[in-house]
Amino acid sequence: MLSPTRTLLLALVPAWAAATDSGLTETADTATAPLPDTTSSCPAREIWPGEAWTDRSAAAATSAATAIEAFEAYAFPADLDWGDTKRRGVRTDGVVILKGGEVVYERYDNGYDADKPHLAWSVSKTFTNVLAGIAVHQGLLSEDDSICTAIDGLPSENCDITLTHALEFSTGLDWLETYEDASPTNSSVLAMLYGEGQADMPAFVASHPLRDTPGTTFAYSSGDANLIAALAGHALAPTYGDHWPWEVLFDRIGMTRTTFERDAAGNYVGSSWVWAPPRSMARLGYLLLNDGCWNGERLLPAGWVATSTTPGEGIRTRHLDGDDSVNGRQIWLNVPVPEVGIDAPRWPDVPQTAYAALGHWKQAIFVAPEQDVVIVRTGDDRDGSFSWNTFFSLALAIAEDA
Amino acid sequence: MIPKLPTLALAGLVLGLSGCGNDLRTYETPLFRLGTGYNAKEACSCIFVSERTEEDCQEWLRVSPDVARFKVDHEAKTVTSKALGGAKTVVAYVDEREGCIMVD
Repeated sequence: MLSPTRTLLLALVPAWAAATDSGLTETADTATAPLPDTTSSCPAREIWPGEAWTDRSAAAATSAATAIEAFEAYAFPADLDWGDTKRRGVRTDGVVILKGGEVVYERYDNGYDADKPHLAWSVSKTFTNVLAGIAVHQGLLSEDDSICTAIDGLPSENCDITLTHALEFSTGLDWLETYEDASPTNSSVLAMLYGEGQADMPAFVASHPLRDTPGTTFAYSSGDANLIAALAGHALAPTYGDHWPWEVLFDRIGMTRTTFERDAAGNYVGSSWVWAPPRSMARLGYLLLNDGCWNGERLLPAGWVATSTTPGEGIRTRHLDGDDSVNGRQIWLNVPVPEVGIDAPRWPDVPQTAYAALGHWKQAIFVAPEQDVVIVRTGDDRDGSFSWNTFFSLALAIAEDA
Repeated sequence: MIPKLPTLALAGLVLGLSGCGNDLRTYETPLFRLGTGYNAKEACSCIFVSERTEEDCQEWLRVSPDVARFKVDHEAKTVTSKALGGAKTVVAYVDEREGCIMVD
């Protein structure tokens, strides 16, 4: 039995989770969107999901049996104890693998199923990238727009921060991206999501002082993602209304049961709070795989996906996170960045052309363009043993044999 | 009177967890209010968005160890979380699109 003192000490150790990002409450003048080019240079593609994906997982279970066995031994270990209070091991809640636009593998665990929305955590950031891209494609937002077009009352030097800077995690804001592993009251993320930032997250983020000149450094920041969401909302809400994310994206690509939560001021939390079933998340991956086109219609500007999956100027100049992580525009990449000493891809057994949206506790939407593959993974991994390199490479083997 | 050792240890731990004594910015929201904020918000979403059981959500939210406890009002679709020191957060479910939002 614990002593009263130890019990008290334990009770005071905070390790609450944080996620690893707005909005609009103001009404801008009614904007008239110029007609975007909706078809140019969309890749040829015959298979598009209607209300449901075409499912050929039954056939793939035979052709890819060996690869599935190896994958499941890793991703769904037979000896996993979901009741383990220490939450040890690889804890997969759901997996969907698409090859050529068809489901070739799908499995759920831990009480989840194909219809149950799962928190995307920072996978939400890639949704936010796409929402901003749609606004840019429609001529309602520019990559050079200042955050001060959407957020009032900021110090003049903060108005140098543009959409591009926020997309590339190079706003230069003095932000501390820590979760369970550090003092909670020092964490900018926790203060944003669960503390004083909750009242108006973009305003909270943007009020931080500048640490660096915008565009000159890279530092992963959930705050930056909420600046993107604020710019997107300011641009799109006057045309599409309060539920603009559904009007321009979620409903457009058939993402059923998708939730996008807001802060107290009504800003969509683009850093962290998208909830969707894996099959719905896979639709975002398929949109990216098809260069931002959906069923022949271009939703994102030509070149948006390519730019989003290329290291930007900030990360090539100065990487402040002290690791080998490489991010383009709210999308994790598997390429070296020799300019800052990252000489090898982070996932050595995965094609360097692949990229992924990643979230806290190991959520992912993974896209491998050369393999024509999309992989969605939801999970609850807490002990640090999970490897994206292992998971993605084993899942790609299924797709290859399917 | 000299405080007893456990009291000193407790005070030290609270100061440490509160971010005092380092060179980093300390935000305004107190430790336990952050805890109830997290606990209430994510419990609400887990139960009403993801439609998982309270037991499953308690386990998903569980941290090492918990400082906050939540109660669910299924009729009003609200979750209230409380912690030491009177910290309290109330979160309400809006609808399938907007999920949960902090109301108090």
